[in-house]
Amino acid sequence: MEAMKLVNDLAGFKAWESRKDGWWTDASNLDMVETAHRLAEAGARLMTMTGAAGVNGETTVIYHYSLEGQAYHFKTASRGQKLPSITPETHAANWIEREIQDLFAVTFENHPQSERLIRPPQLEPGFFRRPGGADSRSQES
Amino acid sequence: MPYTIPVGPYHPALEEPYKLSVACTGEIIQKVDVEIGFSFRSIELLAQQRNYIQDVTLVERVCGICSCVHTFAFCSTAERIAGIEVPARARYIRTIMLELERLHSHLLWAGVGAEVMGYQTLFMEAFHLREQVMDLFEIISGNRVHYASNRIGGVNVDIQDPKGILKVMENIRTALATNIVPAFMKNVTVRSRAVGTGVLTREDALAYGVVGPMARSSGLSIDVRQDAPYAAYQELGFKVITQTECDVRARVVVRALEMLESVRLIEEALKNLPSGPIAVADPFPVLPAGEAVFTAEAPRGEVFYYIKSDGSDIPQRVKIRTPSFINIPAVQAMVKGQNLADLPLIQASIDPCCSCTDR
Repeated sequence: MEAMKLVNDLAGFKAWESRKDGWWTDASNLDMVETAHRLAEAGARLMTMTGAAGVNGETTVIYHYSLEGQAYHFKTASRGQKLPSITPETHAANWIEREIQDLFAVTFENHPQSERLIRPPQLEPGFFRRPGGADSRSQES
Repeated sequence: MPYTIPVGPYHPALEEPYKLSVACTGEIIQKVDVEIGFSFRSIELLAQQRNYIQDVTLVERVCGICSCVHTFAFCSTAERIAGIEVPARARYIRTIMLELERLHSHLLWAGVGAEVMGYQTLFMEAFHLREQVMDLFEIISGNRVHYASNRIGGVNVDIQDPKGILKVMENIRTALATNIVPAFMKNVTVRSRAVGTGVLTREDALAYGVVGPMARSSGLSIDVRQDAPYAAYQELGFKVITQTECDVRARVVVRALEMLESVRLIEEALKNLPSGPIAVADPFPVLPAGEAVFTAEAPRGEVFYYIKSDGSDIPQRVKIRTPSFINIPAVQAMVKGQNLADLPLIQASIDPCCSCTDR
């Protein structure tokens, strides 16, 4: 419950949704750098961030946090394939953001160490932006 | 005069590829940079082009050591989306397999760690015991490494002879309690190499977001089995092992004591194994559109799965965050100011897995 109170007063905050895997919020208009700062101050742990190819060439990014054993998920999307880096607030985001940069070609602005992490050097950034699910069949044919 | 030496991409303690660039002044390490991705396999992308049944086999290949927890977490995420309740016997069998896997992984680490410390006898003792655990896997599943034991909705393998496995567990418990654990707790060689070496403070552990024995040996009481219980952990009861010294010895002690707790959990699960089916009736359940996260406590710490379903038989997105991916960067904090000769031991104390990291 603590993490919920931490961000409720931020501009752009939308209501929490309770699910079996924790609390979810639409963070499209939330300042994620300030959110990351407040969560780090409260001792929350960044579990990871999930990137996924979104609409209009953008990338959906979900920030997954844990505080006192409770999971909190903030779902947002890149704008012009850019997002502000939270690594200056949370060291754990360093590799996580670089991996999303490699796989989905998102630029994390103000990242202190933005070089390639895991992408094979012969591949261009964004090689995970291929359709999954039912749409992956159209790729096969 | 400061200098930088490359270490890797073949690891000096484990034969797995990642590279360290170590900046030293004299024998003292000032800074280290880590490079990964030498064997990146795009398993997440491949999983988004195969159906759920094929994906269970695929994610088992994320790691050759903690393969069971990957199939378990994948199936559990899918079950969460589909709202499937797994039968009680399957939950107990999953718990037994997951704890055998922890035992196998920690014994592997114990052997490698002992060898890096120059304690060959303990290395041989640990690997001898590990063979018995792997024999148990073979008895239960027919395989020693990839067990193919999990499926969406339950398990593929039943435990036919719990009493026979209990007998082997008794031997393993005795060997752990009399040889392995005391050696790691009290032996002079271990203490001289590990005490005060490679400290990761509680604050750094939190900042780097480390998980598993790495976090618990830095005083953080985090364990998915406690924080978000799954399988049969709630019924069996569970003790989180923590240490506050934050050094290599603390990591050694946490893993040593966790092996005894794993044996206790396996024995309890075998003694209380419920009767009934081992899986839901439908072998190919349809997943509705939706998304879910599931976390489980792998031997090296929290493993994270996210699946997004579009209602077809192929997942739209599969995200896997392995514990090693989050634990390895912490080596930067652990080696600062340490003697260069201790670098292999400090790295090994993370129990890093490049197969998981380069999934």
